[in-house]
Amino acid sequence: MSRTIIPFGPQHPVLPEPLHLKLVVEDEIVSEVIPNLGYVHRGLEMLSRVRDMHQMIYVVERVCGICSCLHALAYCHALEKLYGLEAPPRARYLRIIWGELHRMHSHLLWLGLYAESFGFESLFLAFWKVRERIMDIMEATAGNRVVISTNIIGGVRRDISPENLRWIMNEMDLVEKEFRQLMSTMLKDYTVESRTRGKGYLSKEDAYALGACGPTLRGSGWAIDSRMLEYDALKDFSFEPVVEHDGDSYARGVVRFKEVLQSIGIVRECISKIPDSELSVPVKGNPPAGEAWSNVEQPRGELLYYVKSDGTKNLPRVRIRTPTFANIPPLLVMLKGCELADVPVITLSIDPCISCTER
Amino acid sequence: MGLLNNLINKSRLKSPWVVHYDCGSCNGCDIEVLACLTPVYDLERFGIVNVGNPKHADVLLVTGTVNKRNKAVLKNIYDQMPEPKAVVAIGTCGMSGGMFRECYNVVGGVDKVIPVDVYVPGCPAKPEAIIDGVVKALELVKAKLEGKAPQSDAAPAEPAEGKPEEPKPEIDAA
Amino acid sequence: MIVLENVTEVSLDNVREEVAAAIEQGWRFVTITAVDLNENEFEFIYHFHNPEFEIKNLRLTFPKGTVVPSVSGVLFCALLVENEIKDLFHIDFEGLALDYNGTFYTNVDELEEGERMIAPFATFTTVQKNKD
Repeated sequence: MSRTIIPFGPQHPVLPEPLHLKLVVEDEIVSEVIPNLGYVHRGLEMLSRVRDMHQMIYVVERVCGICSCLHALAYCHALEKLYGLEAPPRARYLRIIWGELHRMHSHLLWLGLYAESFGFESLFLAFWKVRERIMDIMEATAGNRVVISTNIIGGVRRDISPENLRWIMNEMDLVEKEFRQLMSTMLKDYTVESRTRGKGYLSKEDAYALGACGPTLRGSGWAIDSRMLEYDALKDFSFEPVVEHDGDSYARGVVRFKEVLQSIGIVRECISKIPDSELSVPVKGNPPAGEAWSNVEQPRGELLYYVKSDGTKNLPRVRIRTPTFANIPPLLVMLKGCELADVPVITLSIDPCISCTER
Repeated sequence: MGLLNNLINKSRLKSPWVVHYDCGSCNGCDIEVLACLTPVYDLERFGIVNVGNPKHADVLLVTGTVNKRNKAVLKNIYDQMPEPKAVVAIGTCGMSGGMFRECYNVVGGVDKVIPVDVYVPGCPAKPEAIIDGVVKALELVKAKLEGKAPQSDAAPAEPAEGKPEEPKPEIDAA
Repeated sequence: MIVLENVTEVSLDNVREEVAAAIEQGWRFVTITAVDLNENEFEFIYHFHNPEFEIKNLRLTFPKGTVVPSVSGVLFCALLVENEIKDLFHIDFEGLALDYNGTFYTNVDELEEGERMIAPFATFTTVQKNKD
């Protein structure tokens, strides 16, 4: 049997990002996968020694442009733990609203790319059309479309006016209506099922042992979602994670479909219950020496920050554990034994974010 | 031959094909490049098509900072593109390295490796700005076709004129 | 001073056994954090979670220049993070399941035989600029 090595990436039409996989192929079957990273590595954890802790918020937002708000949230949580602060009630609600909007736009983006990975380009355009509604909300409430920079240590920087909150409620109805149409199109489609069902199977035991997280883990039957920690406003609601049991690419897609609907529900609930209060508590001086750990659910999985402070304005160590970093070992297991034509679909099914992975 | 050349040149300008390379960007600019293709911004009304193969492309869109590993890839993609070609550097990172210019693995802006024709500012750059940048790049391609601007061969890159060299902050490897 | 909760100190001799025991008890591996403590010492923190979101940490402190036993034999997914640490901190591991030889992130093509990249996290210090 002939053995060939095929490079996948770093510049590939399916992936907007430079992921490089060396695929060892026997005939059409992938027998071994070697990931090759480093095309986006900038080394921004080191910047914490150059920038002070307030400036670092804007640096960690640029770890990944797609989930920037949640990176800042996790970093602020860690520093608030060090200071012993808690954000005021209204800020806690606003953080969740922006965070869930980010999750929606990230999942819609992914669903579009996923559809494109098996050649369904019109569906890609349709998903991104729905996503533009959410981008408009971001632009109207925060002033920028992607990197919104609303979180600060001890609260948020901006308020959302009552008119805008009402407008977001209306937009959510429209997003839900359009999204449900697309959902029934995609999930019931014969071609989509045949391209994704049974592809990239990850068993329940493997998912846990290999440290998978996010929709990859929940698609394999584990009810693990960092939002169960009830950070910020989430403690006022009951939260049930979305779980699917099939463990294949189709199941991971379904998890993301249902999470968009869940996020729409959370945003609605937040807007209906939002209390009045100031937006942030003042932060005085340098953080006390110590170390803190925070955990936030990103669209791709759990995001963990380890922050160590020595009492100066620069933090000696900021460690960012991003979800895609944890999802690459499961990907290597999933790709083993698949057909070459399924590699893009399976790779995309973990929603890889390379700029997160390499930082 | 003259007629055929005219036809090819005309179709080049009326339907330029772009290739996009993410060169160490945070994804912010990448998703805005993709958003340009979607129904709301719709780059295709200018005949612009996103292709995966650099050999088919007229305009190269580069997002993000160049780092020590991907500079060879970027150079490779640029060299594969046929003349006349234009390069658009998107976002603050692509222009100068942005907030990452102090990082140890970052070389700097795109112009450190390949000649850049159009700079699109913003962090991340807005889709409107990106469309504007691509349209500006097309004017340049047109000038190159008419012989009014020099062809950009694969000569070693020099920083664009009027753009001062960014000083690297002093970080000592003690 | 705030520190991490549920921390167990481990040593170079028993780190592999402790990690294997944690996996045995049903903990889920999260990551390894390497911290440059001072001129002489490094610190590794092995973080674990369980489905109830409890957290378990193993703290390993060792002098610089030590070769650390790799846990990628008992824990396949620790492979990427150990290669990352090898690149950024120049800490060598014994028994890595897949060794990138320091080319995981940083590029060593331009270096001569036997030479290593400057390990950025371990040796970089900042110098205040003089304001003229």
